[in-house]
Amino acid sequence: MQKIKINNTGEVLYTETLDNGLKILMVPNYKVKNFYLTINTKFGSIHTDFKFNGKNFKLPKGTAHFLEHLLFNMPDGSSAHDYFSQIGSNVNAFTSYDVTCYEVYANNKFKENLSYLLKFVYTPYFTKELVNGEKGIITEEIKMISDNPASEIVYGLFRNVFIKDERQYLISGTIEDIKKMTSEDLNTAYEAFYHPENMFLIITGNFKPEEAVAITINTMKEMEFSEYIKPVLKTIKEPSKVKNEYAEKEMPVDKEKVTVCLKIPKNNFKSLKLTDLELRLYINLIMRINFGSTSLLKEELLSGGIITTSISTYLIATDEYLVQAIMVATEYPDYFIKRVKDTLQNLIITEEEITRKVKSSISSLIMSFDDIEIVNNDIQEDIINYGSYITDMISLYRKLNMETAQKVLGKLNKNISAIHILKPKSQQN
Amino acid sequence: MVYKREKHGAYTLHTIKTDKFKLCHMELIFRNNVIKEDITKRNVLFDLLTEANKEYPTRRLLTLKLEDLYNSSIYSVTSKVGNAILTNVCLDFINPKYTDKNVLEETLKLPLDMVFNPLAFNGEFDSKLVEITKKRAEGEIKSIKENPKKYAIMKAIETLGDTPSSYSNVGTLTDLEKITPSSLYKYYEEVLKNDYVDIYIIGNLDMENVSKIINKYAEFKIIKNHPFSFYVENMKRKPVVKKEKFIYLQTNLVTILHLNKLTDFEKKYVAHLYNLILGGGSLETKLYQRLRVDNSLCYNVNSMYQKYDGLILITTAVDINAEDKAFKLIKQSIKDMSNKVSDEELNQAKEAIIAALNMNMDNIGKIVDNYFYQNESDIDDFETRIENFKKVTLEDIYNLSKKVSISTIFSLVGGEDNAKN
Repeated sequence: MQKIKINNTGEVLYTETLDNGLKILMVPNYKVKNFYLTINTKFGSIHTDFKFNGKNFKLPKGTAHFLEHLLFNMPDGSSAHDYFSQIGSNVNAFTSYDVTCYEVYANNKFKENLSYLLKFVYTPYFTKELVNGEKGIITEEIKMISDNPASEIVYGLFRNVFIKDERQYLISGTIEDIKKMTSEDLNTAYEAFYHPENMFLIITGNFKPEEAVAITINTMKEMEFSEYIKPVLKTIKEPSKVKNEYAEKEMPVDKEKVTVCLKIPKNNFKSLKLTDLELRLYINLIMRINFGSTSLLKEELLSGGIITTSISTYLIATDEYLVQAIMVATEYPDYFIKRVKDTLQNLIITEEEITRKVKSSISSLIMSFDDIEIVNNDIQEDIINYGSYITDMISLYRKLNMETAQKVLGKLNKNISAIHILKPKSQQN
Repeated sequence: MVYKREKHGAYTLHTIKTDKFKLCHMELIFRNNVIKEDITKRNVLFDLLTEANKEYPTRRLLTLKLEDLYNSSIYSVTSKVGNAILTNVCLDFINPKYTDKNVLEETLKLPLDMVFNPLAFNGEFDSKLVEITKKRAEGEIKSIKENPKKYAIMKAIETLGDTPSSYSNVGTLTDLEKITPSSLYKYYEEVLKNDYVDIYIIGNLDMENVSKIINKYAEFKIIKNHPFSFYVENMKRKPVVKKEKFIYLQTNLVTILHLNKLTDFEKKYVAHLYNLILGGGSLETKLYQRLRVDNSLCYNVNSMYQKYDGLILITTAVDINAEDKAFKLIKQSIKDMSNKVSDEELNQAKEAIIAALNMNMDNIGKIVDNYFYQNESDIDDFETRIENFKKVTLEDIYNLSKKVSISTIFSLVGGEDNAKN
């Protein structure tokens, strides 16, 4: 087992890779009572088109999410929920664009919780009846998402920004996609993506790393896995243009929800030789200074009555692009868009601001270690985004400097790529 | 964990020393009996007090200061709990052990300064600041409709009539219009004069020093001594059935159950377990089984026990054509609670609630909540609670179910047709 210090936090990361390929990452915290287990597979909603074992597959959209729902069913007719309820643990799961995660939160019976989590995730059981029964539930979930403006802000943005990238589709798929789902689709997806080699287990909270590894080995020793064949995902070349430069949709919102977005090719920054993480840190820094809670723009818009809360910023990365969204609720969308355009043309960074933001980021990071869910989520995100958990984040923050920030700023595409607006929908009297 | 309580004249200081967290947390808790007309004013007031003050006259300047104090944060939360209105002015900050400069006194002083040195002159708050916070409150009130579940609950509890249980947490536009810089300042003076105040601080700190610092800056002067209670007495009544249309795709349903004349033990223990078995707990509840597992009618169905109101609220969202079937299944699930609860279900509910109590002990804010409700309400200490939950029997659940009746059946009927063309 490898033991790595997480710099300047007093915390330690333990890692182990089992013979079957499963990677285990552990950050114990003996001051808390609880532990949090997640088993993750690198399979999300965007992974629908791939070659596996010599055959090409194109799964219905929403397969990863559907599979996540069904995996809780056990061959004896029970559900994994039954077991975890009996021992007083919380079990849940979620699917995102690039990962499916099964999670257990509890404070006793560590061995039982970990063993059963592995057991149910590695026991696929998808019958026609179960698949059909789940369709109604997921249909209602999709409608629930469609009634939620907060979800539509993100989905609407991606629908208009991406032309080929699968992020333009709902993680759950549409009601029509769900109708097409079969147990064969789920079996294919499971076989291709649920091999331990494509998965990782993260444990945070109060537990002993050696014991966790022993329990995992012991639980998995009777499980049979075929030799790992890596699914080859279809490469998608996403154009630099957006699908729609302007789009609007009516929903029951109080005032317009405006999202302004930049679609930035990573290639622009190639000559700077920054890692993906460093590039994201610089872009975040620039956006925080110019649009965040201490920005002059926010103060101006707030005191002018253009916004009433804050400007939210959100950065996501695909293989080729960074997509930076800037979002507000406002009654004056045109004025807001104009001011964003002006600000983008005059982005500023100062030494003083960089120092302050770095100091506050380091404090936030240290405080985040109190929360075993945040630590677990951070590890998951790092693995998905960067391939491994970043244990010297504080050093990376300290290295952020004015010179490089200026260079990144110089290469930043400062023109708005797309605008998405949710408009108030009126009720019939 | 070492808890100490010190009476400091007009306020009480509670210190909780623990090395569990790298974070430290302070709460100034203001509490009083709720007055319907004051809810909106109170939301605006505390938003304003934590937005700016004389030293930091804009939120931007305050945020820059907070970043200098190693990314500390100040915020307020106002909530209605039964008959009470509580406002928690919170400060989160990193333990000084992790900072290169000791800024503890400056940090602890800040929320107290926000309360005692607001941006006000000659008996009026700064009009610009009032305008900003009023607009924000207006947004909060109007945007309730963006959350179908919250909006349906708000409409459903309105049917309860003239009782604190029916008041909306966010206030009303009518009350908001009446707020002026001077009326708000008058209310501020009333709050300082009439609200009970407790200060809680938790973290790995030298609490003697903390006590001295807080005592230096907490200028609460008036000792309060008026009756205060969390409990609301709602009366049993015939079910009120109400429907409204709205432009969501789904129909949102809210069923309100009234719990009639519970004993103290039932309020504190049996009703919690009853609620967990019915719909408040895991994904194995009566409601979840009937609506989601057996009939694929919904994604979520939950029940919430409102202890101080003596109510249980059941919420779900279903297809627009499934409303009647869903209500029928909800009623059947309630009926099941009178004679069809297994030992296994009761034991699962006990396990779940004990696990939840333990989970709360890892959350800095929930530890403060725990001490607050033990001190100001009738909640027993941690060990007693666990022992008493274990004592609850099936007979207790069945007896309680005899005291449960439906008070409201509310549907927020969805459908694309409800939109104006």
